[in-house]
Amino acid sequence: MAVRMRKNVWTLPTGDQTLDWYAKAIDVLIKRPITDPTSWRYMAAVHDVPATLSTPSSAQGSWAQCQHQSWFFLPWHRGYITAFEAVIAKTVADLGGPSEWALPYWNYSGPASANPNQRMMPPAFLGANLPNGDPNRLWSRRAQNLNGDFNLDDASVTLDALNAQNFIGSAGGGAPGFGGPSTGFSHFGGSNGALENLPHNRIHTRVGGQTGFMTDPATAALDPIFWLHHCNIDRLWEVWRNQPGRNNPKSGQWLTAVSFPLHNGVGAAITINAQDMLDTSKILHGYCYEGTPLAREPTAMVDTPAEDPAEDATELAGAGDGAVDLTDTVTRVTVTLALDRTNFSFTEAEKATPSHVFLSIEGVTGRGFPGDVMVFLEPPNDPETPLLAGVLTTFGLARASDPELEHGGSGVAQTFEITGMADQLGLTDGSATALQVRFERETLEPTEDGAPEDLADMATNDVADPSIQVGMVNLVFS
Amino acid sequence: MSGIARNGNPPGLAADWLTGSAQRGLDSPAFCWTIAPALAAWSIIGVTSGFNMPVGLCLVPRDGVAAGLQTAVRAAFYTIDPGRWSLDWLVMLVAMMPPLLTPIVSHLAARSFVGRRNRTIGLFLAGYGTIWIAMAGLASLLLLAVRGLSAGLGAGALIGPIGCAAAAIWQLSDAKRRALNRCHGKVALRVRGWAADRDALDFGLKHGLRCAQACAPTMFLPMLGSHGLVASVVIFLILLGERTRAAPQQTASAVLLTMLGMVSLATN
Repeated sequence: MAVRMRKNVWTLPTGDQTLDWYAKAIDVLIKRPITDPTSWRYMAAVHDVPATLSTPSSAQGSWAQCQHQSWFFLPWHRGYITAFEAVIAKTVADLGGPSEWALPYWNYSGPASANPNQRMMPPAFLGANLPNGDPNRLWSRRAQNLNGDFNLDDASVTLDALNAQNFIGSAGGGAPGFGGPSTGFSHFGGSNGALENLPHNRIHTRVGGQTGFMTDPATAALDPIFWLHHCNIDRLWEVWRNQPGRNNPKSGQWLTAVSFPLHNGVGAAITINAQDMLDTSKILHGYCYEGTPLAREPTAMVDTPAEDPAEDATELAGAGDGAVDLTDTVTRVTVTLALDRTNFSFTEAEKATPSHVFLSIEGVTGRGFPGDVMVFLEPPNDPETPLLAGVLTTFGLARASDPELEHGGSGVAQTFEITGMADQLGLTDGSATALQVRFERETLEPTEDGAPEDLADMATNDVADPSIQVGMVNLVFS
Repeated sequence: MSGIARNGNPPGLAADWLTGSAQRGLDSPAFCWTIAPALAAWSIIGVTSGFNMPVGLCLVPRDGVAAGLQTAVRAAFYTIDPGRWSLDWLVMLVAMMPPLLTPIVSHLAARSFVGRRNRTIGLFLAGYGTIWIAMAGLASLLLLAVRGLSAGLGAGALIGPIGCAAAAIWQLSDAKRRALNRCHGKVALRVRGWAADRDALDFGLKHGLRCAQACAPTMFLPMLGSHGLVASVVIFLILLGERTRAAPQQTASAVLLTMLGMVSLATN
């Protein structure tokens, strides 16, 4: 049987009914009881569960298992959306639709020359009601927007993550890696991988706004656009793998040590691990992406770079003075450099210059949905023209700050490579004694009124008192 | 960046014939501060055939609760050599606990300046060790009381299996899972001056408390009955597995503890 083709939602041919069938299937699934593994609510709860919803005994171990800030982020979500796709496809077939239905993807990062609308949400997802007055099952509780424009600027949809050489992120404040750091089961907390931070996290909060479903991991998968968003993230994993020298982890700790329980298209229990997720043509019904070749694992003879970031050891080169609350719109932190290099390992090199320079922001904790934070660096000779280091995204921040979860409330961390700016900032030649870091908090867009029929009980208007605190700002050389 | 001594650790443990990554491993703070002392402690335990619990704990008669306790306390008072007793506890703690700290020590090493790295790790371990030394004292008192009571009730042979069963139940509990989660918690530490010293010490105390919550029942309950080399190794492997495996095997550890209890029952 041929694998299914996942297509770009913005280039579906005129008259294509992929989204129509998607909406019809949602209408069926949303009416199923939450205890049914093929119901809309159950599948959303597999991602995460609101505090107000208690987990039934039959769903213990199945709900609230989304993997974030972890090297399981990509394989877990791959299995999750493919299992979802199987449920939708079966429902579509049962309704008399095409047997080969596949999720489309929303490529918000595609070149504008190909489609100027790419950053807009497709019109089918907008408007609470259809022209005939029936509810639009593709509409959801989202940020206020004008014709699907969620202000996805260049920083939001950047594909810089594809430049990451290694899949695994550094544990020492170095390169974040494409797929995230080595962890065990990781519901929330720790360091974001490059792709998870941008564009993944950013799309969530931009689309969700202050209290929309997409902003909160506990409700994100209730929004039909969630699945097209993650379909695109999954596609980008394939794009990354198709680049020369990019490889998935080889460790058994990643491949097989952790298994995740899901349900297939008919609601039967299945178990997946990362190794099962390497060949998309063999996952459940099998799928591939339009315009993206199937990625294959390299043979043993292929010369690949070291996958272990520990080989690229890091060295703390500067640090702030401690924790700081980002209570104001703009907060500055001074990172004082270690100038006494007599004990610095770099002095043992012939040329005491680092290969890479990173800004590591750690121990970020918070409450509610505070919005993302733009991180700038101020050149000493031109502080009024700051350089953008990156975006500190806050999707899942409150969950990562919960001491009951897997990482004991340690919060999230994010590392930005700033090697290209290091000379301008005087970091590598010893001319600078400090680095000025400027945090600019964004505010989330207000959310549209209302919520989809049958999901109103999942909506909240509580925006009270969101907060964000940065535990430490470090400068790291490697 | 070739030719750099990683992590600023004093060279000396590595040899020329080792590969680069092996040398870096032996030079790493994690090895020097956790694995090396644990290996030494396990060597001592191996030579002395296990942990030597105070003799008094093993000499309780079966003639009533009060008499049992009284005899146990008296025997402990007369027979315990405080120096030997402290040394035994220290050796066991050094054997079991530092390997669990390898990820934390690596975390501290990566987030401290080279010049004060060992000081930071040392202060963290001092805080952590303080908690566990206190736990050892507390555990001794509890062991003494429970063994005295059980012997007084004529159930001395059962206390070992009961302890193992209790530990197995603890392993399967939500409370254990939550405690283990908190053990994974890290904090952002300041890196200069007294503030850095205070943060390292505080984190050691905090992590020690978290660790004691998660590990102490697993560690001490089985010792109500058995404290030989095999029991020590089994408990150590369980604790190590909880920290190093991607997914803690709570059921497997409960089965292991149950088997340990059955062995204890069969040999008493």
